[in-house]
Amino acid sequence: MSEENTKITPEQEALSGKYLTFILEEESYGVEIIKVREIIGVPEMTEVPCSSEYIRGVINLRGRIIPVLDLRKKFGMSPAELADKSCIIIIDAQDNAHKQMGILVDLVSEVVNVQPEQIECSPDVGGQSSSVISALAKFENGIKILLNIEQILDIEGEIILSENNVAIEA
Amino acid sequence: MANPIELILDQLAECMILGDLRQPETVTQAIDCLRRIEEHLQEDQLVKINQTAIGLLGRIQSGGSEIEDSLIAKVTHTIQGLQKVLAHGYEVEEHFSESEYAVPLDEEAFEGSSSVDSAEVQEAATLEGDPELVGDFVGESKDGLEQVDQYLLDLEGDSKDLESLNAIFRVFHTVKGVAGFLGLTVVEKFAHAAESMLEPVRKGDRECSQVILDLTFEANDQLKELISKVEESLTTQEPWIPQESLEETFKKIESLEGSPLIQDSAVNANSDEKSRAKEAVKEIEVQLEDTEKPKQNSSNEAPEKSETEKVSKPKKKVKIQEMIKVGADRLDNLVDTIGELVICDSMLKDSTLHFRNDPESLKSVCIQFQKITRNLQQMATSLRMLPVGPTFNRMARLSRDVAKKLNKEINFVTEGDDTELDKTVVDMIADPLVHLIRNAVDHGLEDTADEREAHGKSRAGRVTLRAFHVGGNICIEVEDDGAGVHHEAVIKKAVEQGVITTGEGLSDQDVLNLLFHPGMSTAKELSDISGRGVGLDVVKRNIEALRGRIEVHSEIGVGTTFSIKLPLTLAIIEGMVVRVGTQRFIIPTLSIVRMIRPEEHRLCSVMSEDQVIQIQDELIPLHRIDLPFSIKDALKDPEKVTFVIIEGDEGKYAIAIDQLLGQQQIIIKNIGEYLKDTPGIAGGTILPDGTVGLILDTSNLPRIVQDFRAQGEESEEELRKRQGQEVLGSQVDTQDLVLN
Repeated sequence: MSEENTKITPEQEALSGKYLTFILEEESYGVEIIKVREIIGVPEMTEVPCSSEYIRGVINLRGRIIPVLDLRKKFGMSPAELADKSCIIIIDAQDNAHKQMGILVDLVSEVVNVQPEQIECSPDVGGQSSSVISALAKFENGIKILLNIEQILDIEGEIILSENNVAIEA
Repeated sequence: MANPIELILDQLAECMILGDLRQPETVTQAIDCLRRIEEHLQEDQLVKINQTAIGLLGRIQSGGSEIEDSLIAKVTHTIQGLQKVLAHGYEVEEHFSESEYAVPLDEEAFEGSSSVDSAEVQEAATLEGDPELVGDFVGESKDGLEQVDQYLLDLEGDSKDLESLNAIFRVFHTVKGVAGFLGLTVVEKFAHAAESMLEPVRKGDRECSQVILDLTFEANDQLKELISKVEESLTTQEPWIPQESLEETFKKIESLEGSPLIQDSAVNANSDEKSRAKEAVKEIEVQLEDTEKPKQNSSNEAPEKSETEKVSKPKKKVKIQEMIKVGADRLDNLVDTIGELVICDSMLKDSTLHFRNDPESLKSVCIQFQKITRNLQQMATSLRMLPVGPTFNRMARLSRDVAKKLNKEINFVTEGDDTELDKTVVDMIADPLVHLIRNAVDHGLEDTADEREAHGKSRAGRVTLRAFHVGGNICIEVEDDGAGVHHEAVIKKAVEQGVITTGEGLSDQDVLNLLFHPGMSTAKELSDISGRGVGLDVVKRNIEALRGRIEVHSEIGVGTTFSIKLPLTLAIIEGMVVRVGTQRFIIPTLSIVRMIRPEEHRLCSVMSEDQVIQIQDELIPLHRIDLPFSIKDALKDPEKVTFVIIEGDEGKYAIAIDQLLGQQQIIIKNIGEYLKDTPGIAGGTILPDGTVGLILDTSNLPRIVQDFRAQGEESEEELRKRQGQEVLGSQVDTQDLVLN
């Protein structure tokens, strides 16, 4: 996977930019910063019965009700208790104000600037659910998995990618 | 003949002196005046001058911001010339000098040479600046045309009602004027035809016959259709094509023009009117052909750049803004209250700054705040309130049409027209009402007047539509004095349709409720009025979407009443906050029949599967929501829980809750695109402690519980094993409750 491409493809160009990275079970993920509305601590959540099991609950964000997606559960990871550093990243869907969604993550780490040459497009990971991964970004301290957030917000269907990812990082 | 022209000339002069030709209103007014003058002109020369002036004004109108001063000067000159010519022409025709109208004629030449140019300018203008104006026009015209229906109905009741006739005339005239200004020629011409059809009636030259009324109704419908086509093309940016039936109506109008007028009026005036109207009709036909051409041979696109193109071209999409008319006093009140709020705010600041151990002052400020907030909330709601009158008027029109089609005599009465409802409710109530009114006229009333007479009723059936307040709700009733619902017919039909297997043991109310079952229609055969048996269940669903309820009462031989109960507003409801386990839910108060404590009831089990509660001879099925909602810590002991009896889609049912926390005003919030289809949850709200509370969807809770059972047969087995042991020792009553 570390084969260098000297030429920068338009795809790489398109995917480069600023990403907000966060940690889920020791793995580093990134979402495009432009899609992030805000990051908040975890307030009291109300469970929604009969909803998708990946929905942890709904929260009150200044008078608006926003569903929170449990990303660990969605990625088929072991469930974790809420900790001090747990955060909810509020994702903005540009087209529809009612499509805001929070995603619950273990820890928000940093905003990184991903250069085109760091991007490894169309990675052959994640099996059939690879559509949720838009690319991998190579950094000195490891890779960051860049997520296609629209695909993830499509709440149906579990995405199992942790096993594959472990294999790659190893 | 001189009089009307002088009047219009006065108006024109006024508008030229007081107005500014750079203002579009002035231009429109001026054009309007000139057009009216034209109607009275007979000499060719004058008509030409007049047209020149109109043409010039048209250029100003379409020129947008770049109006040349020279153009304005020319127009002013032409109009002044016209004024002189007309004034002199009628008073002293001999003094009429050539030089005085030479200028306008020069202008005409100028106009002639540049006519192509001006047409282009006009088109370009329609593309850029006009979409908003067209949008406004669509909104206004719709309102106006809606009113025409009402006036027409009044007129039908009393053919001497000149006021209504004038009102109709005015609406058509306004539509004509503005449509002309916006270059919607087909609309303009059609409105003109309708107007000229009424002109002789207004002047008393023609009788206000049923034929004319019907034709006016038809013309009004066609105009509405035209307007909605324009609206459609505005939003979709597709070209708009007038409906095909338009021409038919034109033909009818034309043939009407040929019918004899009342004889005693001046022959001159008659032929004048006739020819004018005929001209209009002819013009329209030409216009129609124009617009139809692009449709017929699409290969030949270029030559006919008619309306179709003009409207279709706007670059940006225009959303037709919904407008609400708000009384000025309401707005004043609102601003006043906000003033109070600001004062209160500074008081609060003051008391926090100099707190001086005086909790009392803080408390009083808080109370003040509370009061103002409540006032504001009420006012904000009242801003969205609209009277149901206009909707009722539409129903009046509808009932007339339906009755006419069925050859029934009816007397349609509306009551409580000024009852106010939230705008959304008013908009959404129309469709269900259409169904109900149709039903009442078609099925409710007896088929023939003779049949009514035989039962000792008046020949004309009465259908009443009334709105009134009941508690915190609005009630809308559709009542007919027809034959009532025949229970046997309903039962027979229901059995045929497989809705029920036997009619035995059903109470009267049960039978009536069958009417709301999908697939039920007691009409003997399908007709285009009664629909295809998808009537009342759709009505019920629509009403429930508005958080309302619908009930039916019927008495054989006396009549049927459908009553709709609606919340005053959609955004705020009264709700009971209840607790199940650690979860809190809100149940809309409107759907709660009663709440009971265990000692008042007896719980029985049926086939050790379901439970029913017996309350005063009534058996109500009990559903436990804690299992499908996976609430693990809910109370199991039926001695401790509270039962809430809810009126659902398919009758009453009860759910068990742990505790009633209180009743409060619930502001309904959207729970987002992702969760909006969650079964059992109708929405969310923010509770006073800042957390989110979920509003139960009371209409489909039983279904969820049943679905859950069907799905989870296996997991239920496990639950049984696990939980069954806890209760083995307890009473027989409780056992079944826990098992489920």
